Amino acid sequence: MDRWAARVANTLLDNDANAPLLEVTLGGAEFEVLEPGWFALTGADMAAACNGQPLPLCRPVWVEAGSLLRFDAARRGCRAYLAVRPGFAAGRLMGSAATDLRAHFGGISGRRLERGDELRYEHAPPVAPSVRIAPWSTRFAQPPEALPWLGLIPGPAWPALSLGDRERIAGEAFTVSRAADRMGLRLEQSLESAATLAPILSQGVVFGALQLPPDGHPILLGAERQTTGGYPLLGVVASVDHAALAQLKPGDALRLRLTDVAAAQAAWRARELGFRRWRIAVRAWWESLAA
Amino acid sequence: MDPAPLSTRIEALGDAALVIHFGERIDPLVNAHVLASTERLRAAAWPGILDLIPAYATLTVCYDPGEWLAAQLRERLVRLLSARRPWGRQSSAQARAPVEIPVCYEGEFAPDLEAVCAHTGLEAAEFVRRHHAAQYRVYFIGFMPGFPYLGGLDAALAVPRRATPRREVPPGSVAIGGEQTGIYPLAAPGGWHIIGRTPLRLFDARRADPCLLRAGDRLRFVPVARREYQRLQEDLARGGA
Repeated sequence: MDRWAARVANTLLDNDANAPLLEVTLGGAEFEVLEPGWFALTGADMAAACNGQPLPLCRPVWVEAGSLLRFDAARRGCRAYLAVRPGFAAGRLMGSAATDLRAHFGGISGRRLERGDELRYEHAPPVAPSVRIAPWSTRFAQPPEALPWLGLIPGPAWPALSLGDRERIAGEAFTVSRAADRMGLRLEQSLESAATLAPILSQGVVFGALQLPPDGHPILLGAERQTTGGYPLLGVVASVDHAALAQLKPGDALRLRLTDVAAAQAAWRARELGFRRWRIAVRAWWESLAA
Repeated sequence: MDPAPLSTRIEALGDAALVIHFGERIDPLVNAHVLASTERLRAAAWPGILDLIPAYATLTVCYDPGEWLAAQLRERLVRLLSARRPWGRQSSAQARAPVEIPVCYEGEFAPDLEAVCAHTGLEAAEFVRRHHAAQYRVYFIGFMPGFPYLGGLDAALAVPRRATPRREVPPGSVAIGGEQTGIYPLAAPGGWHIIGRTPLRLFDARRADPCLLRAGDRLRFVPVARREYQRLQEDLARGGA
């Protein structure tokens, strides 16, 4: 869901950007490490610990066999990403190792991990390195801030909203309701314009789309969204803010600020540029370790 | 054969998708333009194009905003769409024979048949006859994996959606919602009226081609009795298609 945090976790270990990793939602998980290897953790803060010692976020760490990794309930954010080097072994379906929990396919038999499941490294782990923890970390993919601002690019149904609703969207804080999962996040507040907006001819929908169903409670779409939808599209969250969106959990609040395509793409490119520079530095460190 | 060019409108949907509008209504000709353009774009295989989502009258092009600026991609799309294409080339979807979907319209497979008959004033046998007499068009696959949006329902069979959706509609259920008919590939909540069930698996992740149907397919329902339904189901369980 938080593709950015997943990408940073894999990049920390110099993995392929799409190497299979674990998404830990809301916390409360425990893993026993059977074979040693490099691990990296990004995304939500779940006070992760390795044998009782805090496991640092956003930093490659060597974990010995027999270690116990523990995740508490999420303190900030919703989803943590646990990557190993060079990735977990997983089958690919339509080019993806992801799990579709709704349609029950992909990943491990299309389901959540269960107690007793055993995961393997994509390749045999390397011999113990001289360094057990990277002497650096990254500011990318830190735990999300409370009450994040999400950039919203107005969509086709925006002009049909009442002036009052437009002002509310671009100013008020919204709360994520309990109806929130990988498919989408329904918001507690409701918008009056729902009564006057007609459904549209079903069309493709994207990550971060803000839909307005007839009951008036807007929905922000996530990774496991349907491919097409017929609810009016009020706008789309800027790509650079998808990570903050993916880290929202029920009860969290968010604010929307209006932006446009050009500004959102400029923000994306600026971050991408910084990310690529950083990736070069990370690669150099891993090469120096191997030398 | 590719349809003749049609005026199109392109609008941004956020900073990572453009939507090409080929029309504003459910129409086989408009949809043929959507599907032909989808094939052209797929064949063009431009880098940084992440997904193509055809629907009734639109094609949503998802792209990497690190590779494309919206204005650049828009310009390339306009050029591609307005270029003349070879005349008389058959697209693969149009070349396929109509897909036959066996449906049992009986008993527990058709829990809402009585209700839709009451609503439309048709006898059950006549309702079922009209449902399988028509030929349908698969406009696109959407909503859930393998779900076909079908056009061509006899107007007399239209029934408003159920006031309260069912918690779970069994996979293979053939249903009517408003002026549309469809088939649920997977167990899911749903507000359409269930009038039959097919033993075929519309979506099976283990198949090389997981979706049984493709956008542009023609489709016919073939009524089968309960015994035939069970025989087909047993064949499938033994490893058939």
